[in-house]
Amino acid sequence: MSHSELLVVENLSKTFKVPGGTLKAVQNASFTLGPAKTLGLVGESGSGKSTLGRAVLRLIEADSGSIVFDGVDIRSLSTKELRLKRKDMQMIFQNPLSSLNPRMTVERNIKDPLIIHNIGDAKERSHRVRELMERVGLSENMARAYPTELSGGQQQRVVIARALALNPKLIVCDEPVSALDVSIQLQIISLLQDLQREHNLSYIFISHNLAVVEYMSDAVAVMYLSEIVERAPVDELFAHPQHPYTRVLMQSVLKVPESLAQRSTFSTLPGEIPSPINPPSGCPFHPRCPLATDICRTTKPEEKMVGDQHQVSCHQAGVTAQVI
Amino acid sequence: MSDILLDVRDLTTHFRRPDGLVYAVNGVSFQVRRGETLGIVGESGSGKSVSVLSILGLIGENGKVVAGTAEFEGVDLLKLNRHEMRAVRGREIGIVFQDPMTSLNPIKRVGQQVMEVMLVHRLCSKQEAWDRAVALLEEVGIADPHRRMKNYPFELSGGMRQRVMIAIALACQPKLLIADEPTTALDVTVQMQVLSVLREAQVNRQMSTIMITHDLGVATNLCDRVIVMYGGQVMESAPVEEFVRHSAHPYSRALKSSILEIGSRGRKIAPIPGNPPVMIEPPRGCPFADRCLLVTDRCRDEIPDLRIIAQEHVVACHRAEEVLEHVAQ
Ligand SMILES: Nc1ncnc2c1ncn2[C@@H]1O[C@H](COP(=O)(O)OP(=O)(O)OP(=O)(O)O)[C@@H](O)[C@H]1O
Ligand SMILES: Nc1ncnc2c1ncn2[C@@H]1O[C@H](COP(=O)(O)OP(=O)(O)O)[C@@H](O)[C@H]1O
Ligand code: SF4
Ligand code: SF4
Ligand SMILES: [Mg+2]
Ligand SMILES: [Mg+2]
Repeated sequence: MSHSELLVVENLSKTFKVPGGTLKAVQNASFTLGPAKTLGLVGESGSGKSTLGRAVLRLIEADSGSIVFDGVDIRSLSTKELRLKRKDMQMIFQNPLSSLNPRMTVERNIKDPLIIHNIGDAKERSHRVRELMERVGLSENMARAYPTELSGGQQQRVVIARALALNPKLIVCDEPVSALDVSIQLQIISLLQDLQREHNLSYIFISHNLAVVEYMSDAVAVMYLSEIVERAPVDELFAHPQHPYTRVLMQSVLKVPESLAQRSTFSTLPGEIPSPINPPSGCPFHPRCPLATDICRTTKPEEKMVGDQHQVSCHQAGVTAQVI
Repeated sequence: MSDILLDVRDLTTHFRRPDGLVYAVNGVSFQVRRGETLGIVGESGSGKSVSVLSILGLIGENGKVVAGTAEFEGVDLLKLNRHEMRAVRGREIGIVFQDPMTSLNPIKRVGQQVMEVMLVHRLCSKQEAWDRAVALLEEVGIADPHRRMKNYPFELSGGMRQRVMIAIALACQPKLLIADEPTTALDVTVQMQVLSVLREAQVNRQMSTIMITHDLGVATNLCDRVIVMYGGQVMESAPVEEFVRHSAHPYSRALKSSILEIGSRGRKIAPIPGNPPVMIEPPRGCPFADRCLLVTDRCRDEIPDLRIIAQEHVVACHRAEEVLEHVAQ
């Protein structure tokens, strides 16, 4: 199976040393991603999404686990080998300004990776930049502008153009639309989808917005307190969510009601996500879980298969489908 | 006693910037009834915050309210001096902003901060303020309020800090609560908790609320009436049920179809083209004209007036009737 996958991640873990002890940011994350496919990563703030995304690209070094990308064991590459491989793996962040050089023009920002990787001569590079700008919807007269002179949506287009410059196979998109207005969000989502089709791109698409993730993804992994607690193909996950946390997340997405009777009661979980420095015993979700029993407080649930490619870490999974 | 608590008319606010004027709010009018929750929605830069900050006398040095009135129980807030305004702000009108960290004092215990607003307005004795503060923290859903009184803001999570802000805003039993994007920075489950607290407070206290949000889901689930702003102007205002079923402004409709909801997968999306206006020129014509599929020459030359199109439903669009007809078909 795995030879048809672009990316196979197994048991990836990452801890940080922090003043109050050791913080487990990601624990034993495993997933696969095929060519031209999208894996959505959802979860609340601090659940480990960005850390996992960065660790996969080796922008930070994982503590343990394996990452096989395009048949290559990424964690065993030397710095030099990794640099070459990076051409195929790009990242887009929530705040576009943080990843652009404010003192360089739009054109120069997009050209930068071509220069770093020594691709083409000056004329070819300029031509490539024009081509990319046109493709992401930036008008030619913006080439000489500086990033701060553009709107947030335009800045994100620059970031996307730059990420595309080296023809990558994988782009980790970390909340790429969260900072944008809804009308601009949709423009960028639509652009990312078109680019995926045209270039057979694979995405890891990180977002706390479940509706956006559903729209973008072929498969979805739900993270809670540094762990992937449920993972399934997108249709399966939304039709048969098994983990209590997944179900609560789904209920927390507010819909525009059609009548007053359909308005949300705003019912939700009590409490907030606990500190990953001192995570709860047993199932990490037990202090907030309406279904928790004694075993949940003492014993960590194993990951189990509950359907075709559908994995979930919950003692009650499969038993409780109707309760929440 | 008038049913209208706050009556804002033709509010116009400009800012000076090194490179020229910003026409932030251009002739905004709206009313808030007693007991009503009014939602103001719109994309960033549409003038939501500046509208309420103008009313509260909180726009910065470089800003100026150049026209308009804002009558609160018959008194024009825009004519009050600083001293008179301070008697209204925090007492008659409670305020909650998006980022509680910048509005809470980082070096004061949160209990002290809740008590202070009551003591400043001379509502009660210190002892009584303590008891009331504890009750307020409990009302906004803070567990173990006696202990929390002694915490500093940094010891609380973002959701808890926002609850403290709400407690402070409610402390003097205001007639109006203004909340500017109070849940935007919060996780979805915490957002639900805070919305629930706001709804409870609203029901129990029978105050009026202005809820500013860019999230139509929040506005339509919480509010009785919705106002849509764009380019520093009001585009549409309607009771929520009318709004979700019969919105008559092309921008409101575009905004609604821009939201992805669960179940949108596979749906063909049609993003609104273009960008919101930058507002560095005085408004001329409809602010949405550059992005509107129904635009005509008239739209570019003539600012559409806010006019009544159905009961309690006003809209600023030259072609609103056609929009409604088109939808009816
Ligand atoms: N460099 C670091 N040093 C210490 N702790 C870190 C570091 N980076 C992340 N963490 C911690 O690791 C945990 C996971 O963080 P991460 O940024 O991956 O979460 P996230 O799911 O992306 O959250 P958000 O939705 O807020 O972006 C958090 O508790 C965070 O505080
Ligand atoms: N202090 C300020 N100085 C200059 N321009 C400002 C200031 N505050 C707001 N503006 C401008 O006023 C317009 C409306 O802003 P605002 O009311 O904050 O929008 P929002 O609807 O997002 O709350 C924007 O163009 C914004 O850039
Ligand atoms: S294992 Fe127990 S506590 Fe954890 S999610 Fe399942 S039911 Fe809830
Ligand atoms: S006035 Fe004209 S441009 Fe403005 S919303 Fe109506 S039809 Fe569109
Ligand atoms: Mg993150
Ligand atoms: Mg604002």
